[in-house]
Amino acid sequence: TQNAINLITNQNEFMKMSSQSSTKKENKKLNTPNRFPFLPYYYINNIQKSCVKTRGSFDANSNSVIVSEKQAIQRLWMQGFFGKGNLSRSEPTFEWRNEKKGKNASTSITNNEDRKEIIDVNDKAISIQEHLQLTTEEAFFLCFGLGCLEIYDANDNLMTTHDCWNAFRTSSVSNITPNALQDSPLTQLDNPFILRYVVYHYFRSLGWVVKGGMKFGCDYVLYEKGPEYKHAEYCVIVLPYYLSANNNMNNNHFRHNVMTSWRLMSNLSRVCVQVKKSLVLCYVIIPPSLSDPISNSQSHEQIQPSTSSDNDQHHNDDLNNPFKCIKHYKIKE
Amino acid sequence: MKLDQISSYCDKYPQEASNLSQVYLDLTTAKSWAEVKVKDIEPLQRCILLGRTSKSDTKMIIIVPCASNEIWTIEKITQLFSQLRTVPSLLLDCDPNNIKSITLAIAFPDSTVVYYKVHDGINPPSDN
Repeated sequence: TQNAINLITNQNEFMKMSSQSSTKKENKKLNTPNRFPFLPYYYINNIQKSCVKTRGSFDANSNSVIVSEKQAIQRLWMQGFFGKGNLSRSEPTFEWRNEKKGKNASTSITNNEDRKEIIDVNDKAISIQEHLQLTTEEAFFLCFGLGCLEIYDANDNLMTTHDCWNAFRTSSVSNITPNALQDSPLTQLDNPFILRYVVYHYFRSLGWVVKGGMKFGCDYVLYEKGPEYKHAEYCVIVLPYYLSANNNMNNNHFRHNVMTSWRLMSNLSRVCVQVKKSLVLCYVIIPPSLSDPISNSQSHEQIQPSTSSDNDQHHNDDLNNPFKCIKHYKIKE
Repeated sequence: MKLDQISSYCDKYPQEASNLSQVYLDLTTAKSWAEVKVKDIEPLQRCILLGRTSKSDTKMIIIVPCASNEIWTIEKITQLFSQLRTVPSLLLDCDPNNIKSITLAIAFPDSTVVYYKVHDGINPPSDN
């Protein structure tokens, strides 16, 4: 319990920190007319009363949660850099980029054919709306950890935290070929969503901005303040560690191969060095079972949900049991 | 609305729908390619895209949208090339026997699309 309280206090600090850093920098790119006035909304004990709830839609096919409303997109990006614009490299700037293209073009165009092309671009911009795409880890953190996101399913029904916990665990394995599936994803203790989420929650609680690391061949990259300030400092790969006797369990979702040979390790390490990042191996220790929580613990950190009303419904044992201990291991070349 | 062009293909291959739409949107809007055509390749049970970056480019690039958790083995890639070669040339707008390389467009849950050019066999390094 002591550790849990520390984590929540850290979340408090994290939200203060990320909100402050967003407002310090004047955001020139998102030029929407109603600049969202910053108010200290995200203190954990006030979440229920004063939190502005954002609406998200879960799309099982792409395994993501979509946020479409413009103000919400701006809010999520500016207060913690959550999500990615689906028509941009990172920050959702599609509209701004097209406006800029239109402005630059109109002052220098003399050729009629070029003018037509520019008009076509502007028409495209009007008909296509960019949305913010959240990974299931980000969405779950916003919903379960901070209580500021409401997630709806494909039929427009509100999903409880429990529903999300089940849906995200199921969709994290759904695209793998059927013969690889042995147990139902809901009974797996090493379900990929659980392992990835624990790492995401952990680093976010410490104040890091956590984004996807697939462009660098790793699971996550960590930014100290956010992508707009500095390049990411760390590449994180998630490695499951099984407490049971057989530690060589093959989990196709994680880069276990990195730990089997120095050559593979140095491949990954080399990529990280080229992009000036340090590699962090993040072990997630998986208990053999959840039936006896106290005896399983060596040094466990308990992840507590935020106190919002729909969380009363989740009976899921996984969420309330002591889960795992995350070990940090840094490699510097 | 742009997505109307691919909506029928999304219904036909629902598992590939999100990959196809993500890559299609990325090429047509974010990357502003001059021309992007969707082709249904039944032996592969998916659609591919044929595209050109700008109006002046002569060669069409073959884009194969896929998911980030798909496993591509040597066998699967060989099969991909051999099945593309069985497609009638009218469909592909080029000589199918002449296909030297394709580009894998890997779509991730956060909407990132990563492009990898795959050659059939060994190729000397080029400027592209």
